[in-house]
Amino acid sequence: MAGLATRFAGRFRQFFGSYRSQHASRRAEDESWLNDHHVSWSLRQRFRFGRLLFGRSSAFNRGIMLLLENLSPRQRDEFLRYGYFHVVGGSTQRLYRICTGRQVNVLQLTEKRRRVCIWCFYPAGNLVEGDVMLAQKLALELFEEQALSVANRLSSYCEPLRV
Amino acid sequence: MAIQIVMDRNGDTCRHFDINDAQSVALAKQRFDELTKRGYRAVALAPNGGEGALLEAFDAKAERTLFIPALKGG
Repeated sequence: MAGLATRFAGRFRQFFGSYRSQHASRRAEDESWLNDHHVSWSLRQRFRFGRLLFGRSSAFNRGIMLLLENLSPRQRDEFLRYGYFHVVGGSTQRLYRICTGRQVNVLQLTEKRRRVCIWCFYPAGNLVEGDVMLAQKLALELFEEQALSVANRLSSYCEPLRV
Repeated sequence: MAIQIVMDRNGDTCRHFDINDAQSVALAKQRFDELTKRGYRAVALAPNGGEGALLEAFDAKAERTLFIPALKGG
């Protein structure tokens, strides 16, 4: 039994060591990118966790990268620093804040950035956070009224579900 | 090469097509029609997070088309 455990530990160390050396350069590249863009701690941990378990191309990471590619420079900067970004509604010109998360993460704000209410809507299909947030952003910018017609409206006293 | 990006559980699935190849364009159009029938919304993405455009019909000139599943309330 002890021999089996020792052999298993040895194999695990061998595999993990080769995994670490193979992906060391990619990790260094990712860490450098995360540092350069002042990524918030929680987002950084999620990115690392997803990469550790599922590799660089995990669904979560792909979703975040797709989101980042399609944010304006200002939105991207906000998101990386604070974990949320602001969007202006295409029809009504209202200000919205989209927080990191899949549900109950869209705040409607006044011009002075005070809360009016929270909207809850998301695309079907159990998508990852990045995809959900991108879909919410595009929905508010391009078909705002239709998006809000299916959304649930919550009181501003509720807290948005931030991940 | 134009690209169609479909949001799904794996993050996203990308399909490239050559706008100079009629067969490739026809396949892309078929994909567009199938997805929009299933309730997906097609958005032509602009570079660097610029203002996108909602597509009611297939547009081969759109460089990047994103398909968003139907929205529902939470």
